[in-house]
Amino acid sequence: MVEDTKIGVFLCDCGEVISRNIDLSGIRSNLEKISDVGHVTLSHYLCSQKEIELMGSEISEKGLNRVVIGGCSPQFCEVIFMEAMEKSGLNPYLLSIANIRDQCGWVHPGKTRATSKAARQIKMAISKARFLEPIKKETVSINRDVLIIGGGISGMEAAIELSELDHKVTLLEREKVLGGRLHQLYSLYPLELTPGALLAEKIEAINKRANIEVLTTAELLKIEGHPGNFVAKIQRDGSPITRNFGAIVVATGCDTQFPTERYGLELSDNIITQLQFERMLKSQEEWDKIPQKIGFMLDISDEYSRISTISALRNGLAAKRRFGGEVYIFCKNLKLDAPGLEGLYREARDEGVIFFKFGDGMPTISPAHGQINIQLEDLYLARELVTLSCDLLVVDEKIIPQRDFEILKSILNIDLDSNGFYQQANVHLYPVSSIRKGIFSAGSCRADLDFSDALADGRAAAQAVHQLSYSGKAWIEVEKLVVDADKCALCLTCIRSCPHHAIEVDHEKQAAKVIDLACQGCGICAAECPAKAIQHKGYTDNEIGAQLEFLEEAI
Amino acid sequence: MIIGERKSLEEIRKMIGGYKRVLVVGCGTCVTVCLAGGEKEVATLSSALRMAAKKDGDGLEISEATIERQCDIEFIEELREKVEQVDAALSMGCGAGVQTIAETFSEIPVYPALNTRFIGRTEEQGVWTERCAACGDCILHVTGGICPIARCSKSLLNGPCGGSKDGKCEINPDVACAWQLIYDRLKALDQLDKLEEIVPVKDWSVSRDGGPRKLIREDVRL
Amino acid sequence: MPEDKNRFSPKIAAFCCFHSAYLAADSAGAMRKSYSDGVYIIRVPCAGKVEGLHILQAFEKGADGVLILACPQESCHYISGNIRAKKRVDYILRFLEEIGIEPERLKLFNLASNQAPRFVQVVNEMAERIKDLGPSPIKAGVIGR
Ligand code: SF4
Ligand code: SF4
Ligand code: SF4
Repeated sequence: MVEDTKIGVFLCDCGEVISRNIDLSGIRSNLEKISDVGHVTLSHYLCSQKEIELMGSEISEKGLNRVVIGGCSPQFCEVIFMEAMEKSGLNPYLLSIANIRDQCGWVHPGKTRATSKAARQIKMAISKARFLEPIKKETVSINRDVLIIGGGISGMEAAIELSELDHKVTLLEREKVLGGRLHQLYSLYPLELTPGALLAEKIEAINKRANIEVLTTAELLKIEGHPGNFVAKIQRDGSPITRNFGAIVVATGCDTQFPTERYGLELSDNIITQLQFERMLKSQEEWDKIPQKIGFMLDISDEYSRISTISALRNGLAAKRRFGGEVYIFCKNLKLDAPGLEGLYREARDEGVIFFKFGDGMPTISPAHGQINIQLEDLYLARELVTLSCDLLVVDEKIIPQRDFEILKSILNIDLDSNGFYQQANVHLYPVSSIRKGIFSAGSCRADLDFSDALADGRAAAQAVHQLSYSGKAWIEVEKLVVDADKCALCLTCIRSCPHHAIEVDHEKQAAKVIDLACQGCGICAAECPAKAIQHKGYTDNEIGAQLEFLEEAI
Repeated sequence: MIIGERKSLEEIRKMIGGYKRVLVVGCGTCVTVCLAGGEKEVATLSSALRMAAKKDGDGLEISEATIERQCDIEFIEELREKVEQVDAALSMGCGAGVQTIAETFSEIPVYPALNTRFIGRTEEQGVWTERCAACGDCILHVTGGICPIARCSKSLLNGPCGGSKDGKCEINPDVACAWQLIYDRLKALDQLDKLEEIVPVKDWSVSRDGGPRKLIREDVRL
Repeated sequence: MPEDKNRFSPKIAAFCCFHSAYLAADSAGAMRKSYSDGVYIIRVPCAGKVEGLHILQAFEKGADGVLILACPQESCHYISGNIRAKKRVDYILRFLEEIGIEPERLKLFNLASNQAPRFVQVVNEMAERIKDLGPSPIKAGVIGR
């Protein structure tokens, strides 16, 4: 216990919802006997304006320095009570909540049992409250300028969106021109627009905006500083440039690779990749002889890739329309789980594209006399073996991380996921956030995204950046995770285990240091520290230990 | 750093069986860093020992303390008050720590809770490997910075034995052959000529063969 | 010896991640799905915050069982907290075995915030398991309690 505690306990019957099953007045009179409990009230709707104001005045009048609530779940009421405490001059972190409604009254029938459990829960909260420590909040300034790495479709889109949101943007592109894979694509189904037209449109938009700086033939060498205030060393045409940014968006796209070992053959004149096929569709000249039978093979390189499915459908349809002839698509399963794909599939079928579905047995592909023979067990024809020969076979490829992934990863100090893509924070909650605050990823460098998803992803990343830095400042909780420099042995365990890379070595103090703005408050570091040098306010060893007192018989 | 590893609870309990009051002592240096004997491990082991005793109905009182370094008397002195209250001490330091405590407090027995394993480094979180055998006559300058005494299973000085295969040592395919590493490194450094010089028979008298070692530096002595 | 199963009401410390199990418990409340009143929820920001030491302390203070309830695999709010929690639980299980506490008394489950029924099932099964086992051997070892 840090000081003399004077605890105010505020019980709420939630409009008699709680008191129906819990004897709150009985509990109240018992609580009054606890020596450091300076005040106990019982109200109907503690979260109502009137009661909250009352709570505020009790805090200041009675000089309460801890608040314990017995009521509903903190997920509903915590913020309200914290605000009330702050208004009355008490640090809002000196609050401990016993969730006696959702986690007691509502789930334990029988008033006696529920009452005795609620009493224990409140005592747990009181025990914890005695150890609570205040946390200071501060604002820190955040640079509103944004660095976008990669001038492909997602990067350009993010740049335009951010620029419209009034952020200064630097768009970094390794190649001589913007556009990335747009240069290689033939169509952008379901868009009517051609890739060339789209690219021109985006470049025009970018050129119009004074707050977008485009750096081509440029790459990132080094990042220093912290989220909100990164310093980037960039190299452009061999000369160094330094710029400051608050946030970084990685939009470096992906590469593809033909897995010779999966197919058991090499690419050749008549076994080509989707990208090669697109390139040939784009330029008329390259055709020596118009292929009469074209096959598209799917699900050999990667059974789960949606991009391959989309490309095969798109290119199959284009081939059918352009050359007539036969078009076959061989697949295990078509991935049509995105808007518009079902329609594309139907369109392809209606135009006469023929689909073959194979099972676990892989088709055999054998080149012979300028033809490619494909033999497979057709699942629709009662597993009959069918053999088809094609003039041209277009194969699917593996989507792999773009070539300097590894380097960029270490420059940015972020991780790759098990597929080698940039690892996201919780994929479902924050798809475009990386594990590090202030660093985002968008487009096909973070997942197997098709073209329209990549566009949307660019905008999503822009919004996420904007959310973080629009006001140019952020609130931080100062030293919520506090390192005791005397105890710290600099074993580096916390630095290695922080999932958000939010800890660094403070060379002056010779101890680990948590970067408050980067820390997300999981407490993993505190749990790992072998020297017990890190405490997580709100969940310190004392606070957790105090709550375990419910186990003591005497309570 | 010195790498240690906790002994099994069973072994530790056997050692301290019969004592009613035991002080568990952690060390804040090497063994904290290798996650074997810092404050947290002290608390964890103490809790386990208390429970095991309680379960068997043995009365056991445990006190805990973690000091900066167990190999310096000044820090050990900080334990005096606590030591006076107990019947035995259990050190979670390395062998040097255990003995320093024992030498400082002759009145109680001191037991080791760790096995001191080796001098090594953290390869990654949770993985430690041996690097130095404290042979007393370092030859890293001729072996490309890779120690054949500590890392070659046979501590060979002039190249590999016949068991080196595909870069692995014959004792275990998971162990890299130190001499392969040395060769590769010297090659990368363009110093392969160093291998042509015969390393003479090593003077093991400065190592363990010369008996317990002692080092005196008059210049810093008071 | 297990006491009369119906008279013994086990005390279980349930460390609940505030991003998953804690919310699942709340919605179990909203659905009025009842579960054993011996289950006490301790809120943690992430299952990765729960130290092995805290688990041992719970047993030492007299818990008959300890539950660690973490986010679903692959979907930890803090990326790796649930994996760290799992590894620590495995480490502590070996300790428990050495101490002589049945491993069934410590369990980790992954569950999402919308899995109220699973929460109830998990805690009730735990309570049943512990009832079968009887009071913790640590408590039983204390004379006069
Ligand atoms: S884990 Fe603890 S001892 Fe190790 S560096 Fe971090 S704070 Fe210091
Ligand atoms: S609580 Fe610790 S481990 Fe978690 S994000 Fe913050 S610094 Fe990293
Ligand atoms: S194989 Fe290599 S490391 Fe193993 S004993 Fe022989 S020389 Fe030494």
